[in-house]
Amino acid sequence: MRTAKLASGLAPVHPLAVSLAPRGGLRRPMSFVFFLATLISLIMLLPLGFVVWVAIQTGWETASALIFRPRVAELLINTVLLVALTVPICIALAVALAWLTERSDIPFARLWAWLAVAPLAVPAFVQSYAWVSVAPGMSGIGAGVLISTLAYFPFMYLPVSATLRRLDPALEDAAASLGHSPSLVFFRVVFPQLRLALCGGSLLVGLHLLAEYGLYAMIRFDTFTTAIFDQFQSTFNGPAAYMLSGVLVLLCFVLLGGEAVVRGKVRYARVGSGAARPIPRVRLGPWALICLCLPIAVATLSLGVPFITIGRWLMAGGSAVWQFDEIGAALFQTLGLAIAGGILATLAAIPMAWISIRAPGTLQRVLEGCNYVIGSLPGVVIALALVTITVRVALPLYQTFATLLLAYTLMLLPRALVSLRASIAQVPVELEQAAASLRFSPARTLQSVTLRLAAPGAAAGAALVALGILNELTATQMLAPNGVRTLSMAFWSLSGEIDYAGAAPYALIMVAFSLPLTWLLYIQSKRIAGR
Amino acid sequence: MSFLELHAVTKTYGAVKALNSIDLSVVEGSRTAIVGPSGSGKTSILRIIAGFEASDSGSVTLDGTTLADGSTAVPAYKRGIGIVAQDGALFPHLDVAGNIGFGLPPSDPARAERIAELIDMVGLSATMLKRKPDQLSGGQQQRVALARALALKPRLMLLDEPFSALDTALRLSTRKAVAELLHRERVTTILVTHDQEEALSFADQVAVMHGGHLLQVGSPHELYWRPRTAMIAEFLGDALLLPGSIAEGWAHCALGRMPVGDLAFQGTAQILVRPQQVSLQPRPAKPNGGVLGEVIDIDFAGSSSTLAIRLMEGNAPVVMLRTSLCEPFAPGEIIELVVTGKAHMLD
Repeated sequence: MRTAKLASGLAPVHPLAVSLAPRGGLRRPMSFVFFLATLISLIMLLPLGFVVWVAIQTGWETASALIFRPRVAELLINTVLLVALTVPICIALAVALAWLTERSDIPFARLWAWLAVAPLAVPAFVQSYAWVSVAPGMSGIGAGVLISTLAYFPFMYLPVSATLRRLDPALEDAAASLGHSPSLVFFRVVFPQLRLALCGGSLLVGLHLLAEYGLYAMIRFDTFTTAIFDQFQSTFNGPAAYMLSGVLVLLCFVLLGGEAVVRGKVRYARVGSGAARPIPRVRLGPWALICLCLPIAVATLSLGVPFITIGRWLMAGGSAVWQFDEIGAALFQTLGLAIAGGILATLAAIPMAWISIRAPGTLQRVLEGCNYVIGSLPGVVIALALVTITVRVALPLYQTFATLLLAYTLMLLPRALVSLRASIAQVPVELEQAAASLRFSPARTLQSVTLRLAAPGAAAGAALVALGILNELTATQMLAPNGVRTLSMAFWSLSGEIDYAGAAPYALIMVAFSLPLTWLLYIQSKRIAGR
Repeated sequence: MSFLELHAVTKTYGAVKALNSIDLSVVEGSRTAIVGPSGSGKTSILRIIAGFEASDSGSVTLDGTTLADGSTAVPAYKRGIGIVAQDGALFPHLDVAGNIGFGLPPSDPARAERIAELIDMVGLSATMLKRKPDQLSGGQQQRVALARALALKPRLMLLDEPFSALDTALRLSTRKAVAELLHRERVTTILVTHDQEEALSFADQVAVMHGGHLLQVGSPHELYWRPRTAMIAEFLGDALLLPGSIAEGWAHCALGRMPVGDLAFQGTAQILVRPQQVSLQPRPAKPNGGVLGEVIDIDFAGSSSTLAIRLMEGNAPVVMLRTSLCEPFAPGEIIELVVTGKAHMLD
């Protein structure tokens, strides 16, 4: 207690910081939490360090021979085209849907809003499987863009609709009083303010396009990720796969950097508090019927096609496809991994989230940035890095649950971090100080005050990580211990043998478990907007 | 000839009647203040005039043109009415120049010149044109919002509590600057505020609102000295309200005998005396026309003190009086209260 008094007399020191000081002396505050956060961030940097190390090891001559060849150029064109076509289509679709559901009096607006998020429950490779079942001839860039749009546009819809809901209606009133018609108001006032949401959404969609394997493998469309995976399967960990990974990582960085440039430094802070007036909805009148076609069409293509396909295969397969022992084992293993991964990622996010709120600074921002950068790397790169590192350095860890869970944490930690950070930010520091003044040790304060109050956010974050693990295919296939067969792996191997009926129960279970989690996403986006 | 005319304007939100048959006329080039407590419906009037909301019934005409009649209405963007909102509502994605020039055609060759002229008009430096709204202080934001609204030379300017977010000193100077500018430009203006002092000092015509009703409309002087009800009297400033009996143009109450304007009225009524009509003196040796009272409590607040005085007339009511005397009296002291001027009889 003496330490606490001394410290609090000197500067506004956080109660948790105080306990970190050894008994009887003063030390740099929060060093222990800092240490943990730094350690976790360093572990997070493993895959990136691996890519750099491999590049150096390979040497320029071999590397350039592996990189500058027609095959890579072909992959590059495919990948760039895919991103360049899908992202703008997602933007147009998401803005139109968000406007209809948030700003117009379209009938059943809440239903369409939820149906615009629900496609996230359908794993991209299941979406692809559904379309290949409907139209077996589907392949090439056109198919890739169509299915990618249907699978990923919700990532754009979520931030855009949340922003539309949050905009100050007084701005639109002001523009109208300056002689702007409603359509002009939209293009000059509303749309420019969607910039941040569109940047964030585009980045998310773009990174998923770069990272996805199953979707494109199913329609035989080659991207960097499918090529790396094929290389890995044929030559295990040859230098060709490493070099392709290097290019893929560079592409990710181009996206990250491009987003940062376009977003700029501007933050459209709402100036002033504004009136707490509900945003008026535009009356569609007779247009309502025509406007209804859009959400109906999108829901039919993105949800109807997969559900009908799964239903059709289930009917065709009859009771024979319900191999309960196999399905039960897969479900059990998948849920175990999802829960363990969700908890692990959330625990790993606690120190980082806590210091980024309670002790913000340059170092903290850099550490936090590392987590987000690694989280944006494709699963195939992270898995390749972990395979190589375990094989060369720590063989006993190769193909173990520990490595698989580490991969999940590396890939999905940002999801836990974002949720946890937001909910810790809502715990007033005064409560921690009050606890400290009531002789709670810092650890006890963190446990019984901060984390207790941040628990809903932590749970939401863990659930989102679990959702990611539930639908993960690439890294799971590369890292899973022998004998492990998750839902996605079982689905993939069955559909790879063209046993579409046998794969259907697995698809159904994945979607059924994911649906409630996407509802969580939908609710969360509403809460962010203050409703 | 009135320029803006509201006739029987009614508006309900669900079960709440926000506006109850409002009639209001505004003379061209004048400044009107609508004042009332929050939730009284004053902002709803402004939004209906601006065209952001439609009234349920009633009509709005501006300069002979019907803007709204019953449920049909001219949309806001065709009305040519300027508005400055509570927090300015500047576009966060545009700089100051972009905000001021928002309503001007982008191809207009004189655009830059006009923007410079407008920023000068509201008393800001041209060096601010490149700033973003969040780099401006509250007062500067309001001035930019005013310049933006003035750019289109509106026929009518609506001010929705534009000064309430500013601190006291800034509020006074901004208000004065805005009032002078609007007067110079001869723009008919309607100000909505919950601050009675602001309303009285800003406007030629004041309208008091309460619970969706316009209680009284008139000049600031008339409303302050001759309010129709006790609620208006108290809302517009400190008031002493006492029961009195009136006969032949004179009122008798606990504060003594004083003239009232109405010579015909006979009977009892509530009497309004403003505190500044009452002068306080130490108890004189012989009475000089005032009434006596005992100081029972003093609340010192720096520049002024509030005295609680028990009058020694009638049924000994206690009155609260704010005074700025350097040395107010001591509790227990007997003092004399002398009323000058006329008393006002409430309905």
